[in-house]
Amino acid sequence: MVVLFIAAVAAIVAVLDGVAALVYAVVTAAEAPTLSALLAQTPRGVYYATSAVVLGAIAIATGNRLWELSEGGAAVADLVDARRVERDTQDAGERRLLNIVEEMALASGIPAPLVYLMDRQTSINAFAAGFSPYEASVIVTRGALERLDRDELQGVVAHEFSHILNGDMRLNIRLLGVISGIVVIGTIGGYLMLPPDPENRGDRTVNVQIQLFALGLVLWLIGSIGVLAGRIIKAVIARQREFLADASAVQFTRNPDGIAGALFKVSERGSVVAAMHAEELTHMCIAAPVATYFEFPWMRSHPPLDARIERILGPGAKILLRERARREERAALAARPSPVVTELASPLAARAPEPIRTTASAVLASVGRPNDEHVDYAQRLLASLPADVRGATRSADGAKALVCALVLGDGPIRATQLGTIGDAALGARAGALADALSRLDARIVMPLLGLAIPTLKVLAPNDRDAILQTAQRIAEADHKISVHEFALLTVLRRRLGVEAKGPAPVRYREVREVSKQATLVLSLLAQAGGGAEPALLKGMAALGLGSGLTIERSALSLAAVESALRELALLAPLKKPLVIKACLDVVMADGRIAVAEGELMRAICAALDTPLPPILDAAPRQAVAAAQTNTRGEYAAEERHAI
Amino acid sequence: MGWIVLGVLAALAAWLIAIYNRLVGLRNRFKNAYSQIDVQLKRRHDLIPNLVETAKTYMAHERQTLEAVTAARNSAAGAAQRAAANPADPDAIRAVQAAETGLSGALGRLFALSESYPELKANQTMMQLSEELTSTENRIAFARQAYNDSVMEYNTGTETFPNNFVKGFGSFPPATLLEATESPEEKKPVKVSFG
Repeated sequence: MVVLFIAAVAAIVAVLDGVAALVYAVVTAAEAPTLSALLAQTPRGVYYATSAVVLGAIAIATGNRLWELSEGGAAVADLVDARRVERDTQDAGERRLLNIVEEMALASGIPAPLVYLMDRQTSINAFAAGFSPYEASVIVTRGALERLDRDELQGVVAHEFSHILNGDMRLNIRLLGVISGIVVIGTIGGYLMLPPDPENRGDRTVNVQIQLFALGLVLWLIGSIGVLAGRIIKAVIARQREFLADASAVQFTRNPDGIAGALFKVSERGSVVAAMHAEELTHMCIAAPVATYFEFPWMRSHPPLDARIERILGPGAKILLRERARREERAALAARPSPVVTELASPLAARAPEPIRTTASAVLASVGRPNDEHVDYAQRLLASLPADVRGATRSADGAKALVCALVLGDGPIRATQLGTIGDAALGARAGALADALSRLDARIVMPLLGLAIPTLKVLAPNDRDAILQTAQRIAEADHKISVHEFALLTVLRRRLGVEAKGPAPVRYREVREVSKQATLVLSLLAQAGGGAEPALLKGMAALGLGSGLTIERSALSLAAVESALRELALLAPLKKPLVIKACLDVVMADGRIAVAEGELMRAICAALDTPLPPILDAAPRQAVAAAQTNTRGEYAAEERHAI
Repeated sequence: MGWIVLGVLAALAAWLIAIYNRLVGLRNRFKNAYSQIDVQLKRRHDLIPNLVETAKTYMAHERQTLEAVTAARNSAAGAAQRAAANPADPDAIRAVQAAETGLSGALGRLFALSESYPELKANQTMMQLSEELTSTENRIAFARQAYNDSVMEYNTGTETFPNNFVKGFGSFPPATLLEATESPEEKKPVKVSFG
């Protein structure tokens, strides 16, 4: 560092000597054919005088700054307008900061330094100052106090402590003083370039003014070189010390996640400190406090944040941290209490389910490609299940009872249905579960079935058949099959029925070969949605079928639909998405998906062996809320409905 | 010629003296680090009565847990006093460690229980107290960590090559690191149960 500093000073002196020679030549109006002749002509005295003045200026500025900062930490704190945090403060955040500083002092074996807070800075940054560990101070921005959690703040403070312990402080304060000396040349130049006071204007002629301005400009340019040199000096040293401080922070806290999490938050929120002297303190901060636009990599005062995070946590860590942050944000939003009645806060609260708004292409795009919103929804769903229901999905008896409970109806028919079950214990449990389910949202039916089926799949084929027949008997107890019951039975039959060995056979290669069956299924969907004609036509158009085929409502028997689905299952796998899309078009002809339509969609997808993730609401919640009556009030922004 | 030999001997002596002084410095450091742990333990003892009082107003039915915490705290304070009276007695040190482990367990149960009392969690005093207790637990952990670090430096200092000759000139017995304070209960692997 000393070598670089000497080189910079020597360069400045040399250039200024050259400038002095030029000035001398201009002032004395001397003639010189070339620059080198001019330089040789100038008397030695000019050079000595200039060098003396320049060196003197640098020395004075350096000494002044060093003397100012000799008080150590407190002086630096004054430089950036930081307020001292009292030891008996009552503010919770400040108490936490003081505690963390004392913990780190214990961990590193030095007495606790003074703590200062920069109230007006909302970015995340911190720096340590002081000549020795025994009179150090730590300065933290308010942004760091409020945005970092306890572990991360601890990591940041540990990083600063390691700066103190590794002697970076002494190094940095000396750098500060020395660089001020170089910068002073530019400051003088800037001063000379200012327009003169109006009172003194009469003293100087225009010529002199121009000359002074030119001199000032030159000095300022040279001073800028000085700033450049200063930055390079700082950067070379500071970068390696930053890596060292990061490693020491991990050593003190024994917790790499803290400092890595803090660095990640800095990379997201920024660390720019809007204080006048921030530029000079760059090398003392945890992250760059000034935004730099024309910076080359070798001039950076801090290593890139990504590199630092990866050194602490390993390669690819930033992606993991970003995912974690996103998940936590969503969890925090979901956990916020809804301003409306508490029963609406749970996604499974019993209320009339509102239809979902989304687009067919969005749903189709999610087939086979669930994203983290689906995962998030699934997690919340699982978390909100009551314990007895959740437990029932895990045992064979419980799953059987649950399947029966899902098919059981309400009211007087239930007694008849329970009579068809035969097994009294199963019937009792099913009844109890049905009561529990009636308190939940209707949308829970399909996911619960999805949870119970794996438990049942491991049973012997006889048992599986028995369950299927029981479910069918319950559904037929009232001599009618509703759409809901049909959907449930279809899924059950598909999943628990006799399984084909080997890949599914492909009998039909084109959609037009199964046009009749497809039309039947689309008609069923249209009937279920209540839309009938226009919806059906949309779906048929999507499949490229003419409107010639129409199906009577009476033709929609259970047997016919089931056989149609069986035939559709034999379609070539690459053509099945077309059928699904047509179904979605029918369902969404009115722009919404009702619960019955959703269940039917799920049954059709099960029959066609096409997995369908939960259909999430794509439209912003405000639009949906506005469409409903105002008694509901506002919803939390991230609240999602799904089937 | 004689001067050169004298010079070399003088340099050697100076070097040995420097090593000896450094070992003394390391020994005092780790002894100081040990007493730091006691300071933090005492701080924990002082915070607990306040915590129990605050919790009592909200958790009136959890008398057993609260009493367990108070009893554990009193026994830990007593053990600390006895150890302070006989610092060289290894049994006293072990008694202190056992009592502190018991206190940590009781505190852990109390905090687990307080999760189901949301009004207690939201109470200002309780939040301040739990911050102070978290900080105290951290400080105890860091003090132990600092003690272990300084013991490591001291042991390395006395065992490395040139220094182990100097060891004989003073009393530099090897120091023991603090072991983990898990009770036999905690050492059992965690069994997952869907209770």
